[in-house]
Amino acid sequence: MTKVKVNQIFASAFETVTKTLVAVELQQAEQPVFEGEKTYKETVHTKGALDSFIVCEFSATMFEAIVKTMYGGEMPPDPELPLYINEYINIVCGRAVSALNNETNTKTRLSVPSFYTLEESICEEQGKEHETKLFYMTKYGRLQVSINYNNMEIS
Amino acid sequence: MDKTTIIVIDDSPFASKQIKDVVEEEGYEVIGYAKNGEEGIKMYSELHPDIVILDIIMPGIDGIETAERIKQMDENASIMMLSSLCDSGTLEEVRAVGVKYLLPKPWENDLLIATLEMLTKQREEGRN
Repeated sequence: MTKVKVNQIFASAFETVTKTLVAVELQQAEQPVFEGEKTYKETVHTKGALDSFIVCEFSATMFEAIVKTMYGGEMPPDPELPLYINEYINIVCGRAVSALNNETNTKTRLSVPSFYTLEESICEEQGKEHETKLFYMTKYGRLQVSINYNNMEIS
Repeated sequence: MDKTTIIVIDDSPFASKQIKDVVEEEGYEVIGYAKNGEEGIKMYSELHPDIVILDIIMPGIDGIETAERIKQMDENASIMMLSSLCDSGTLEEVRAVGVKYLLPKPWENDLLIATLEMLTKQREEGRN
């Protein structure tokens, strides 16, 4: 599986699901959309044919746009915030993993996502053989995805 | 006529609320929510719902193992699964534990209701 293919499968899932689920159009950018500022973060692992660690960063306004829409128009109480953004990432990455499984006739499973506030840093090991990134601008804010993965056995 | 009763086992309040809104408008009654597999199995044994709507990716035991355990308690349990994982391999795993229906998240409401209707009909045919 080439880096381009992994990138394309995740890009398609992020763009399609974000439009369907929260009615936000993602526009790909060429360059990183964050420069050292604090972001909300979600991480998720995949295991199986694709061994990966995925980090998704949201600007505060993008995070609020997603969570607010999923909650029905307002922000949920703070303790419930992770549950909504976790579900967003679960659906996006599940869509990508399903496409990957079908396309390569292999099996990869997804972990439960983890949430990090603006003040928290990701403490997990990110070291994998390859990394591919997606950068997005929207009218609500910015989104950046880093997919760190080891070689898939199939080509 | 009694309403068909449902429990929803899903760690996402977003999914649970969406399901409740859609199915109750169609005359079904959601009688319980569980946010993980362990809670869901306990709830099934206490409430004996007509139908279980079950997520796959959850903290603790996943939806496939949860379905398997519910089927061990009650081989006639009517279960449908909703998940973002919807590839052919996952469908095979779901079928291997005796569940016929796997719907993708985000789901089409019409498809959700049509699946519930099929499960309800199959339950009624099984009773007669």
